[in-house]
Amino acid sequence: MLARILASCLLALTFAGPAGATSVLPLQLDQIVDGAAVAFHGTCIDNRTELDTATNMVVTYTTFTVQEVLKGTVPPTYVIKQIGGRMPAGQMSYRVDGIPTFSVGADYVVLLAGVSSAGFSSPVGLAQGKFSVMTDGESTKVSNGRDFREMAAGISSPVLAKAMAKALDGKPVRSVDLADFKQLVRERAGRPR
Amino acid sequence: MNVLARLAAAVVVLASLGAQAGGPLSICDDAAKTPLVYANPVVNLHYDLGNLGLRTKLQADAIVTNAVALWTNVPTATIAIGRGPDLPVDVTSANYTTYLYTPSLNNVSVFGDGRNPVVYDTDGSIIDLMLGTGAKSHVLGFAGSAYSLAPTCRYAEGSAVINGFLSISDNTLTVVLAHEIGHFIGLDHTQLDNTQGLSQSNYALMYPIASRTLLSLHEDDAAAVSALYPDVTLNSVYGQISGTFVLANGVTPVLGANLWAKETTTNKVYSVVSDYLTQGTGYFKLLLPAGTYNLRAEAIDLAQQFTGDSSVGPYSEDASQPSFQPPLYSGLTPMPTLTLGNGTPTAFTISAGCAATLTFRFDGTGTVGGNCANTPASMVSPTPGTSLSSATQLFTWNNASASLYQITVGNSLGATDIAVSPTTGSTSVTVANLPTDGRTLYVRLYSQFNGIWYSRNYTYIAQLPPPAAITSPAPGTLLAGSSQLFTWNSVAGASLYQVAVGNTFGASDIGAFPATPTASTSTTATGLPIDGRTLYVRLYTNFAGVWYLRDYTYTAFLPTPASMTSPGAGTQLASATQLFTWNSAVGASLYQITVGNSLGATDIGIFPPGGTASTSISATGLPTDGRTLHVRLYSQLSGIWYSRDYTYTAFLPPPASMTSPGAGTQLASVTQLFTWNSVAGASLYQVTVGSSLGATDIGIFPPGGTAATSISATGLPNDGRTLYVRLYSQFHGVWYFRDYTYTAYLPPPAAMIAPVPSTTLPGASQTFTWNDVGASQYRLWVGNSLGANDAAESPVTTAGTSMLVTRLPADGRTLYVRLSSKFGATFYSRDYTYTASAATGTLPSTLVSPAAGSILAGSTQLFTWADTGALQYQLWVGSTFGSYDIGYGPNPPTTATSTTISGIPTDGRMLFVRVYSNIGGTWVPHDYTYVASSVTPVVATPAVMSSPLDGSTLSNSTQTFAWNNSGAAAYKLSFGTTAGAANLGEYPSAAGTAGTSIIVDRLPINGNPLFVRLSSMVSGVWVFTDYAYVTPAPVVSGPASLVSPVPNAGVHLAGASQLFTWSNSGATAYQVWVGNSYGSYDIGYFPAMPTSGTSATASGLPLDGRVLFVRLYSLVGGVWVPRDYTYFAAP
Repeated sequence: MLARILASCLLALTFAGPAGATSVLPLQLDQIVDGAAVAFHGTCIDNRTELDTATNMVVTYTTFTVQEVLKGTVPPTYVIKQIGGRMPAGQMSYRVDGIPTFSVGADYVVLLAGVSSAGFSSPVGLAQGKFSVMTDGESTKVSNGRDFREMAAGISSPVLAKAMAKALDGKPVRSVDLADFKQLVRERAGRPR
Repeated sequence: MNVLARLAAAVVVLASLGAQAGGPLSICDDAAKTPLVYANPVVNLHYDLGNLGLRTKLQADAIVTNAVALWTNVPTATIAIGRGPDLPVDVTSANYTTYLYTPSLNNVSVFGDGRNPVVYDTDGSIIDLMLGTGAKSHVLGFAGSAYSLAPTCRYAEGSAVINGFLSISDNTLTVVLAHEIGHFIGLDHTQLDNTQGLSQSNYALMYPIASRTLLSLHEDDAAAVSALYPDVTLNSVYGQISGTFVLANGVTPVLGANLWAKETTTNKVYSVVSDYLTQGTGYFKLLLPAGTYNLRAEAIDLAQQFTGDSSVGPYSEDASQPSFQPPLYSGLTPMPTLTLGNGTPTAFTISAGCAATLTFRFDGTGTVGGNCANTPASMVSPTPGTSLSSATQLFTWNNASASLYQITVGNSLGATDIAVSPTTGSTSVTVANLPTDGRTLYVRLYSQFNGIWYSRNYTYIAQLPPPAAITSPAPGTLLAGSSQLFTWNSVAGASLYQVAVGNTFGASDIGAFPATPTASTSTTATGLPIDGRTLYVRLYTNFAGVWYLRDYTYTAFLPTPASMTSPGAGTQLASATQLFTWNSAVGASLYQITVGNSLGATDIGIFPPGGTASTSISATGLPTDGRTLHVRLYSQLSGIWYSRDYTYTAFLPPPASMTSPGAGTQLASVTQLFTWNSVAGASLYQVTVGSSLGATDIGIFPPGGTAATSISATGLPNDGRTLYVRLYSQFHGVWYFRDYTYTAYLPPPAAMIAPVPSTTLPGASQTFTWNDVGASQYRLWVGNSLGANDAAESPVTTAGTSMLVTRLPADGRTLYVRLSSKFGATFYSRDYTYTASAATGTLPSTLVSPAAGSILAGSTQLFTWADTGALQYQLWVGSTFGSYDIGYGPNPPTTATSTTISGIPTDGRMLFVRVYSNIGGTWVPHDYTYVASSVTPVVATPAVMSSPLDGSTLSNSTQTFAWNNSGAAAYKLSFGTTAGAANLGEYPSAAGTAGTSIIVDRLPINGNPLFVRLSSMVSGVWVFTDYAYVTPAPVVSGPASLVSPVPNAGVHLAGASQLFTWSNSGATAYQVWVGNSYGSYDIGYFPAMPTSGTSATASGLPLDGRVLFVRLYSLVGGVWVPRDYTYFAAP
């Protein structure tokens, strides 16, 4: 609790929001996990922009194949709806800056807010809830662009200690091992494997 | 909903738009790759009618207006975001569809009613609906823009939603809104941060991460919006550079790199992404204000996830795109920063309106072209701002590669009223007929490039003749007097002159001469000081009404009279006639000496009365009585007499000298005749005698003085002291003297009469007698060596002439006797020797009490014996004959006849007592026996510890110690950390207890040895026995250990579920990991959340008998500490 109070005070002094989401407060990792209705490791297999018949709004549907559920109940194929998107040529598109986008074929660990009554669900903290999976040589890591050392300051876990121990002192930890990260999410979500 | 009203005419955007930062947010699908912009740069926003959380509508309106103004106020950009009528309602989750949702027509979205709503989502409910439940807790707001890329490429309109549920500062909200408005009008992100040397507060507003805290645009933001919406004034502020970023082969384009230009003086930075128009050529273009720049390249930051919605440029949508691929990245490692020119950065100059072209290769090489290098020539000589040397001046400048040059000269900036040179292709020209009056000349140097004249402006001071200079007196010299003629040279063009004289530099407080400036070349200054001070003289010269000056210094006139050189001032004159000499004073015409009895007086003489030009004079008739003479030496300078004063002592004959007795000798008696020589001029003589210099305490002879040359002094001391004698001579009523010292008469000391020196004394007592020599006291010492007094007893001193000495040795030794006579405070001695008498049969002493052979009363006993006249006595008590192991006294031996011995045994034993007598230096014993007193002793032994057992481990910090009653008077326990030590204390106290147990608390709990000493008071002595124990082990927090199942013993677990238990080590939490390899948890960890308990049940365990690696984590002091074990899975 103390860590959160301090984080709020810091915001009042210097605002350093996360990547691409200048309209979003920076969140702690436990806040992201706690705020997520569902969390999973999956692969983006489709993006589809259309005029949503339910809301009459330009929306983008993104489809994931789910490799592992980390929180909540998620079917093997999962579709989310977000506002904005690029319509086919000749039609008006609508771009909302800060709404996360997903690349077809890319892997992500996604922590999503609950689906609203209008059917929308974006990642918690927008880009902060979207962790890209990257492979460099033999290691597979995840990142949302933020410093894990700062983002996970309020969490006590042997797994986190192991992940942080690999980082050089004082340097931002921009990525952690995928397996460790998923374990952190599971721990926080109370979902032992 | 008015669908048709949202349709608006699209306007073709300008094709010549520049680029900045990451470039435009979107590119049209046309062949020219036109940036996407609002066709009509006037965009009106429509504010919500409601409040924004805790902010009133007015407060919310002000924040939006301030954010918008940052972009609208850029003078070189045409974008104007205005404010239209407010929305008619307070937009809420109940009605937001009316104002935010996209109108559609036949399932096709349409826009164009010109309404750009700014919605105040006062409770965050709209945010939750559009971004997901709970989003209102962290999303501040969002902005969106509707656009079409084809067939008409344009922005149609936009909208913004601001969350009132969160509480953030106005400043933060304004910066966030300004960033979003930047996107709203078509700007992409910018990557300018600490890599370019910026502080975080000054990162570009369009940086992907909101870092900027300044409520202003960064220069890159201003250039970016100017590039997207150029005003007609653009070319008056910005030049541009455009080119391609390619590989070293000069052909292959590099796409998606971040390029930035830094101004070398101001360090301002501007950026663009290569191939920002997605032409596939590596093309870039930058708008730059006038200045000199370097160009560099770097990769877009993947580590910070500047991709997707945080992308910078068109090639960073995801990690597979060119911004994150070779050559910009190797794996996840970005390229190092690349500089055009590498180690010698290429500098290129930009001026307003110019256009430079550039090729930047990936090996750091490149070329710069275009028309930005037209720099007009600069003046080389004469140095701008200096004074010209004549009316004709050669001007030279650098070769700027211009086709022609020209010089103009005028009386004001840009004026040509003085001179215009012919145009020339050379780099110098001579200009004649320039003014020579010191005025400011405005010179303009023109350079022509491609038929266009460029210029630089300079100023100079027209040539001016030097002002007049003083020719006499020579500067720095001494002035002649209070009046001085100054002359100077005549200067052409000068109209007036004036001389100012002052006490400080530039001052005229002494005078200005003449009072009205003159056209003449001389003037006489009067009233000048004559005290040698420094005078500051300034000569003014007037040219055409302007005064110019030269400064000088002189020394004011200072009169210096002559000084006496002989005789030396303050000395005594040698006679009544004295030659006085002095130095020659500069300018002196006459000298004169006056002599008087007071300062300035002439009552003794004036020499010579009429003065002399010589430098010496003999004064006669001077007094010879030693008086003080006041002498004044006059010097006449310029008709004025100046003087110096001196004092001398008049000549005086010497006083008389003592002729007898010789100085320093000893007087022969208490009466002494003193004689001296006769001195001319002396009228009386007198002798005084005293105990110190000048004192008369012994006598004045004669009291009234005498004209004779001798006197007999009487009553002088007879003690050999130093006498101070002063012989006075009186001249003219004044006494003069000479001092002498003598030694007073001293009679010989007394001599021994009896016994005859060097004889043998008859016994131990002897009366010594001597003659009376009038001494105040006599003293007799008898010793075993010369001058000693250690061989007998005697009164030592007496006023009489005899003394009885007793206890003389009687052993025939040599005795040294010193007889001293006291005169004054001093003893004067004579020494003698005698031979002591032989032993005379003195008996050793005998014990008087207690009675010999008796039983003593106790452990302390007084012994007394008879005085037989021996020199000393001592008594011994021993357990055996002749021993003194029990005691002896007195110590040292004395003439006393008793002593008390303590510590005598009381066990009825026989005691051997010996009394020693010193007879003639020999110790003679006399022995006795006694029986010690008999007292039945208390039988006591050291106690023995009965509990706890020696060597046992104590159970806690409080312990009862018990022992047997051994009959000792007291018992006590000492505790220590080492054997025999008592550093942990004594119990119950240092005095001990008569009891046989005590309870001791606060004993150490550290598992270390504890050393205990049990002391018993037996017969007045502490005797002891030592014991050792082990203190209880401490309870220490540490990693726990698995207890069950028994670890590392080849145990097979019970099944797929297994209960693990461990010790409570004091750690705050525990967790068990089970894995297939060392340290892994791939099989599971238990419990899911760490527990403070000491057991956990693992489930899902394999049943194939494999080796299982089990790790027990303990949280100790905030650190997870593991212990590892192995088991076999159940078969």
